[in-house]
Amino acid sequence: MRRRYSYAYLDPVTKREIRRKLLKAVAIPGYQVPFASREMPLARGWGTGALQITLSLIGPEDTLKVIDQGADDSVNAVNIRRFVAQMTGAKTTTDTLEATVIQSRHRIPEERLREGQVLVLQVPIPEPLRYVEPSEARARELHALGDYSLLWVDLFEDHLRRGLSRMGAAYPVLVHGRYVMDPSPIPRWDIPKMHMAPHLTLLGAGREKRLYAVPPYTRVEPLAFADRPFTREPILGRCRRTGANHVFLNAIPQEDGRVEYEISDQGYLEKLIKGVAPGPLYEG
Amino acid sequence: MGYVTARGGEKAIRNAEALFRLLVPRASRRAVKAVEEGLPYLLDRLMGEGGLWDPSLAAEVLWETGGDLYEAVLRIRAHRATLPRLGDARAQEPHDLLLVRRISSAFRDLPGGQVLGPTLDYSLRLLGRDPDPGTGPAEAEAPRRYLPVRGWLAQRGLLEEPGGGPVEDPGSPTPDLTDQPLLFPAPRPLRLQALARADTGALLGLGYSAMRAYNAHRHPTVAELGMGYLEVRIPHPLRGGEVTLGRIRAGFAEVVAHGERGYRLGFSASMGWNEVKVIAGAMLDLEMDRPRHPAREEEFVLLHTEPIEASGFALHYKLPHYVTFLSNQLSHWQEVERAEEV
Amino acid sequence: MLEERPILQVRGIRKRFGDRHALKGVSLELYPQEVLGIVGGSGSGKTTLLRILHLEEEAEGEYFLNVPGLEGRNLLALDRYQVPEVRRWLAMVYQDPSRGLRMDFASLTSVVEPLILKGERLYEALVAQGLEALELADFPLERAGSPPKELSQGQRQRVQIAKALAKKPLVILLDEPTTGLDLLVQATFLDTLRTLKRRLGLSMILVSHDLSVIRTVADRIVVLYEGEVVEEGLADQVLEDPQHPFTQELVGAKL
Repeated sequence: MRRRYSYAYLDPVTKREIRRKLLKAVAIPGYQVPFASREMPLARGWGTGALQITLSLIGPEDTLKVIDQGADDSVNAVNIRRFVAQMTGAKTTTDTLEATVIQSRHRIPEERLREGQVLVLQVPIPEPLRYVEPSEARARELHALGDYSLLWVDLFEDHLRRGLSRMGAAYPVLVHGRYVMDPSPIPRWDIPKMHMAPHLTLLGAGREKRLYAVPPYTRVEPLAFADRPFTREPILGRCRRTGANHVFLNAIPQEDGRVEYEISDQGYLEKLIKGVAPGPLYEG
Repeated sequence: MGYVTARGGEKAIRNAEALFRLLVPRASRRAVKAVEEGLPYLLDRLMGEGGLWDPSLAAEVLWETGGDLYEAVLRIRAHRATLPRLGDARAQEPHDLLLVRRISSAFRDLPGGQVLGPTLDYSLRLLGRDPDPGTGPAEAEAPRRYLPVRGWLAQRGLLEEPGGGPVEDPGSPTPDLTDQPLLFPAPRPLRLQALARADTGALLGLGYSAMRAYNAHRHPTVAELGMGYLEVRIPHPLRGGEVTLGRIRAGFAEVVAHGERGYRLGFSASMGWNEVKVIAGAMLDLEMDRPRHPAREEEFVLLHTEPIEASGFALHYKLPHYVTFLSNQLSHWQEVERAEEV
Repeated sequence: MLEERPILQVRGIRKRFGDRHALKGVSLELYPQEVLGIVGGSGSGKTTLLRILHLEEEAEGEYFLNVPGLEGRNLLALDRYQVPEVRRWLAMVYQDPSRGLRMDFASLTSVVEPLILKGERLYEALVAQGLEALELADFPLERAGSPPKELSQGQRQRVQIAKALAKKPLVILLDEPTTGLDLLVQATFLDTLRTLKRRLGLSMILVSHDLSVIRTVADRIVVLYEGEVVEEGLADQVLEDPQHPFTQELVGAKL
C-alpha cells in the first residue's frame, strides 16, 4: 500500500515555515534562524536539514544535482537524489552547469556557479562557537553582542604555539561584516568560492534545527589576523587519471603504504576524462 | 509500609508475578524461534549488554520479560553469573573476524574496498512494504581479510602511539571485569569491557554530547567500522591445538582524532552487531581521559537524550568524510612533503 | 588627592544572600591616581563589594563611574547586555588566578585577550603590547609562552597584573592578590604594584584582610566590619590613630 504524499513530500505548513525562515535567513546573512525541523525518512545527521530546504524550493521545472564529498555516486547522494526525483518529478543531473539546485555535503563544486543557481549545503554543526562555548544559550548571546573574541583568542593561541591556524574544514567566516558563520565542513580550499559569489548559498542543519544563508554578492571573509592571512590546503600530488593538481584531490591509500590522488569533484573529473569543456573555475 | 510477616510478603510477590504472567503469557517455542530469526539486532543488543552469547536463550528471556529490555538484561547477567568459568578463549585481532561489513569514513576508497554488507543505512524510511529487492551471487568474491586501516596509518607514521589498540599484550592473561572491582583509572582491558557491556542508550547519550561539542581541532573520524562473525577458539585440553566452539556475531569501530603528534585512536568492540554502541564507545574511549565533566543542566540533559537526534548523528560518522579528513590533516600538520609522483 | 571629582563612587550599597545581610549600606569614593585599600575580616563583605564593583553581582544602591557616556548613570540598574561595555573600564585581579586566566593557554594569550576584545586584529601588535604589559608587571618574558598552570603562584598573579595593564582600564580592582603567597614573593609583588602606581599613576582598589599588605600600597583606607564602613581616612592617619575598636584590634595585632 503506497501512501500519497504532498508534492515534494513536505506538507504545505512545513513548506511555508521553511520558506519564510529562508527569507529571513537571506535577509540576515550568516544568522542562524531556528526552525522546527521535521523528521525525514533519512537519519538525522545524514542531510535532513538541507533536504528540507531542497524540498521546499524545488519544482517540476528544476534540475537537481546531489553530491557527497564531491561525488554524485556516493550512496547517500544517490539515495537523496532518488527520493527528491521521486517526490517532485524534477530532472536530475551530474553536470554542475546544468543544475538549478545543487545539494551538497561538504564540498562546493569546482566549476563556478552562476546567478540563479542555488547551492544547498548540508551542515552537521551550525554553530561556529560550539567548540569554544558549548552552551547554546550563551553562544546566542555572543552572536547578539557580536562578541567573537573566543574564536580570535583561540586563533591567537594557535599562531603563538604553532605559527599557523590548525583549523581545517569548517573554517569560521565573517559574513557581510556582521555574523560569524560555520560554512559547513567544506575544505579551506572551497572557502574563497563563497566570497562575492553570483549564486545563492543556503545552509541547513536538520538535527540542530537551524537554517542560514549567504545571499549572492555577499562578503565572506575567513577569520584571520590582518598580518597572518588565510591560506588553503596544499595540493600534494597529481590526479592519477588526468595529472591535474589545480583542484582539490582525494587521497587514496595503497597497499604498500603509498598514497594516490584523484580529483574530488566527480562531475568535473568526468568532463576532463571525456574531453568535454568544463565551465570556468573560480579565480585564484 | 509497616512490618509485614514474611508469609504475607511472599504471597504478595507470588501474586505480582501471577499478574504479570496474566499480562504476558509464556511464549510458545515457535514464537521464541520467530524472535530469534526475526529480531537479531534486538537480541544482539541484549546479549551485548548481558555479556552472554546465546541467541535462543536471549529470545526466550525477551519473551519472558514481555520485552522489558532492562529486565531482560538483568536476567541474562544473573544467569551468566551462575555459569562455571571453563577457561579463556584465544585472543584475536579485529581483522580475525569474518567481516561482512567494512567501511572507512576517512577515505573514499581503500584496499579491500568499502563493503556495505547488510544494512538499511541508505534506505528511505518510508512506511509500507516495498517489494523485496532480491539478491543473487556476487560478481566477485569479497576478500577474506582486509587491510587494517590502523595498520596503514601506523605504517605512514600518522598515529601518535603506533602500539595502542585493543590488546596490548596478547600473551598475558586478560583481566576480567566480572570478577574484579572496577577501580579508576581503569586498566584498558576493563575499560573496553565496560564499554562493551554498557547500556547502549546511555553510551549514546554521553557519546553524542561529546560529538556535539567536538573540539574543532580534534575532528573524530571513523577510520574503520567492521561487523562480522568471530570464531570462538580454545586450546584443546588434551590433544593440543585449537578447537572452534562456534561463531558469534561481533563488531568493532576505530575512531581517530587529532592529537599533538599524530592521530589518537579510540576503539570499541562488542558482541553482536550494534553500530550505535561501538561508534559511541570508540568516541568515548577517545574522550574519557580529558578532564571534562558533563554539566547537570537542563540544556545538557534534554538535548542529549533525544534518541533520534543522537543515534542519527552518531551513525552519520559512517558517512564518507574523506574530504574533511584530508583537509583537517593537511591544515593541522601542514605537511610539506614534496608532491608524490603517481 | 589631586582632583575633587572621584572617578568611582558608590552610595548605599546593600546586598543580601537569603537572610544574611552581607552589605548594609556602604558608600565610598575613589579619586584619580590613588590606591584605596579596603580592609576587613572574613564576613566583612569586602570581596562581595569588589564583585559588585566589577558588576558580577547585583545589589541595591548606586554606582557611578566618571567616564564619557556613563556620567550620572547608575551602573547597578543596567541590563546584562550593557555590562560588557562598562567592564571595558574596569580590570579585576582575582585571588584565584584560574578565575582570571586561561590556565592551559600561553600566558601571553590571556594577557592579550582584552586587546582582542577591543578589536585589535594585527597579530604582531598583539604580541608586542602583550609582552610590554608582562614586562611592566616584572614577569620573566622568556616564560610568556608557558601556560599559567606551569607557573608559580606569584608569577600567575603577575600575569593577571599584565592582563589588567594591557587593558588600560580606569580602575584596577584587586581581590586579595597576595593571599597564599609566601612573604618574600608577596613583598616583591607589592613592590611591583607600588612602582606601577608611581610610574603609571594607576587608580586601584585593593581588598585584603592583611593590614600590612594594605599599608604598603594604599593612600586611603576604608575599614569594613560586618557589612558596614566603620572607619576611613588617609592611610597614615588610620594606622597611627585608629578610632574604631575593630581597627584598633587590627592595628594592634600587627605591631
